[in-house]
This record gives sequence, structure tokens and C-alpha cells, in this order.
Amino acid sequence: MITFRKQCAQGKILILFLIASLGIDLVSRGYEAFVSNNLVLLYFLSLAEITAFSLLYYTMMENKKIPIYLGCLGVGYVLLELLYLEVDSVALFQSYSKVVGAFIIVIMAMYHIFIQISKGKEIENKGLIFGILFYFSMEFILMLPLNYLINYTSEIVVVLWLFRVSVISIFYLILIHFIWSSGRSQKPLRFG
Amino acid sequence: MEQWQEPETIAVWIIFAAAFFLVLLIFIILLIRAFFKRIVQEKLKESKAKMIHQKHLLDTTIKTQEIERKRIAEDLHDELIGKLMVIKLRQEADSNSQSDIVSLVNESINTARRISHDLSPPLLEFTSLADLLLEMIDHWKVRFEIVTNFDERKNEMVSDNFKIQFLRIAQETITNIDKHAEASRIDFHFRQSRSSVALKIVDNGVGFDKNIKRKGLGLKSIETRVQFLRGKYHVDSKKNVGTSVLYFFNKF
Repeated sequence: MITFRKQCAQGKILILFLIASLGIDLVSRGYEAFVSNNLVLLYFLSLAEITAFSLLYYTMMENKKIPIYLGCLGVGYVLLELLYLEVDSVALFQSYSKVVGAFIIVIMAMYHIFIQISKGKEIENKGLIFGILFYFSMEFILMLPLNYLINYTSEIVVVLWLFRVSVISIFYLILIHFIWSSGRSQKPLRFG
Repeated sequence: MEQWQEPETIAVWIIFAAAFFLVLLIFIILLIRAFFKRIVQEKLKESKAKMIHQKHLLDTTIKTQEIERKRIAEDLHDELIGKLMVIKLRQEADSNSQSDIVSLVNESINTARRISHDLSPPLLEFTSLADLLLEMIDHWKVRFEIVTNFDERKNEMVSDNFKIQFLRIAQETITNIDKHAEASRIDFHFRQSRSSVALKIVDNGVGFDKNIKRKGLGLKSIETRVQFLRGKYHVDSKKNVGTSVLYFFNKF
């Protein structure tokens, strides 16, 4: 059984992130039904990712300034793009907010791993840390040609979307496994 | 025209991708560097631990050796010399006994006493380093012409352990001279100050070629003990002129 209260700080942040992601996904479906496209919600997903993973590294890093500065930089960029970018035309939509967000998270992941190895410490939650590094590196590469992926129709685009779906699935499985293993409530022993 | 078909957009993508791969490459290089640094640090730590262990082993070996020597010395003194004394007294009391037997027994007593004292000097804690050295040298006066030059600037308290190891080093050096040098004269220069002890032993023997490595048990024992006392030593030898050995100990 998984309980929110028994989660560590990282577990709580990831649960909230998963809830936010689910919320954005549900809203995007409704949004698509009423408005022409739901591309605007990519900004909100970017904001959720940057906020959640900046907070996650804030709880894990000794140098708290790095996640604060990088997080603010990422959020600032996404907000600027949200204000100025044209989202009505699918043909002209080319947002870099997901790319910038992924880049910032990758930088934080790299910095965290590098500091841990330099100090000769054992890297805690290896699965989660390397999962974040892998997922956001892939996101950076896949989200860069976003306009191409949403406008061009070919087999290669389908393959790329399928690849992205599998990467996302693996990443969410890693997150769920982390939440499950860190918040597992142990059955009290009957004797002693 | 869609955005992705514009050359500017493609150029931006290429720049972004290149920058990302560059960052990734730098990260991998830094990671490998940090990893190797960690390996080197761990190896250094390991070798330091090994050195400490070896030092500990050496300390234990030398201490055990000393305990065993003391036990043998006590056995020699209390049992063998005691029994020889009884034989001597009985022989002296017997009017028919031969005088050469008494003198042989006397000689045996003296030899046993010398061995016992060599193994474990008596009243070690109450005797100064210089006196102990002089007493040890005294035995060799029958074999060599001995010249001593003692300079005790400060009779600092020296630990029993230091005294015993220092004497063993001097003993081993004289034994080496006796075995190999064919010398007739030995000079002892001893100097003790507040923080250091130095001993120079010079003989007029046949000398040896320093380039030929000689690692007999005696030399090894000297080396081990000097190392144990955290001292230094220097050997100088000239063929047919003689050999001089200088021992120097900074803290004791």
C-alpha cells in the first residue's frame, strides 16, 4: 500500500507531478474538443516539468542555488514564449519551451551526478536519477523538431512518435516504481 | 509554408542539437575524469592503509622478538647460571677436584652471563643510553682496539624501547665488523642532545664495494630497526681503508 504521508519529499513531489500531468492530459482532451488545437497545453506541461524537477533537485542537492536559478530561468522562458508565441496556427507552431525545460533538467541531473561522483559518494536513487537524464535527453532531441513532427505525415514520423511513447512509458514506470518503493508501508510484525 | 520547411528553423535545430551533444560530451569527459580521480584516491587510501598495517606488523614482530629475548635471558640467568654456580661451589668444596674444571665452569658462567646481558640488558630503565653503549662495547675490548668519543649534551629521558633497539643496532654493526671487516680498531662517536641521538661507528677493516648489494640478515635487521625507530643511516666504505656507519635518530 502506498500512502502520501509516508512518502519522502521527492516521492511527494513526483506524486504531485503525476497528478498535474494527468490533469493536463485530461484538460488537453477537453480542450481539443472545443478549440481547434491543444498545443497551448505543452507550455503548462513544460511549466509542470520544470517546477517539479527543480523542486526535486532542490531537495537532493547541497547547493540549492543551482535548481533555484535554473528553475526560474526555465519558468521565465516558458512564460515569455507563452505570451508572445502564436498558438492558433498548427503550421507555424514551433515552441522551444519543452526543449529548454528538458535542457535545464538535464543540466541539473548532470550537475548532481558529477558532484556525487567527485565527492566519492554513492549516488542515491540511481534508477530515478539516470531515468531523468535519459528521458529528458530524449525529450530534448524529439521535441526540437516539433513543427516537423506535428505537420509532416510519413512513416518515420509515426516511428518517432511511437518511440516517444515508449520512452515516456518507461520514464513514468520509473517514477511509479520510485514512489512505490519509497512510500511502501510495511506490515507491522505480529510478534516483536 | 510550414515552419519546419524554413531553412532558419532547420539551422536553429541543428545548432541546438549540436550544443546539446557538446554539453553531453563535456559531461561524459568530466564524469570519466572524476571517476578516474576517485579510483586513484581509493588506491592511495588503500596503499596508505597497507603501509600502516605493515608498520603495525613490524612493531609487533620487534616487540615479540624482545619479549622472547627477555624470556631466554631470564631462563639463562636464573636456571643455567644458577646451576653452574652450584657445580662450581661443589667443585670448590671438594678438595679432590681439578682446578681446570673450576675454571671451565667459571668461564661458562661468564659466557652465560654475557649472553644473558646481551639478550636483555639489566637495569635498562635506570641506565643511560651512553652507559648501556659503553657496557656493551666493553665486551669487545678483548678483540679490538676501541676508541670512544662520547658527547652527552642533554641526558634526556629515552624510552626503554628506544634504548634496546639502539643497542641492538650497535651490537649488529659490531658483529658485522667482527665477521667481515678484518678490522683491528673501532671508533665510536656518540652524541646525544635534547632532540636527537647520533652514533658513528668507524673501523679500519678491508671495506667493501658499496655498489654490490649485500643484504645479509644482519643488515636487514639493522635496516628494520632503524625504520622502526624512524631514523636514518648512511654507510661509507672504501676498499682497504675501512667502513663508517652513521645512525641518526631525531625523536625518541
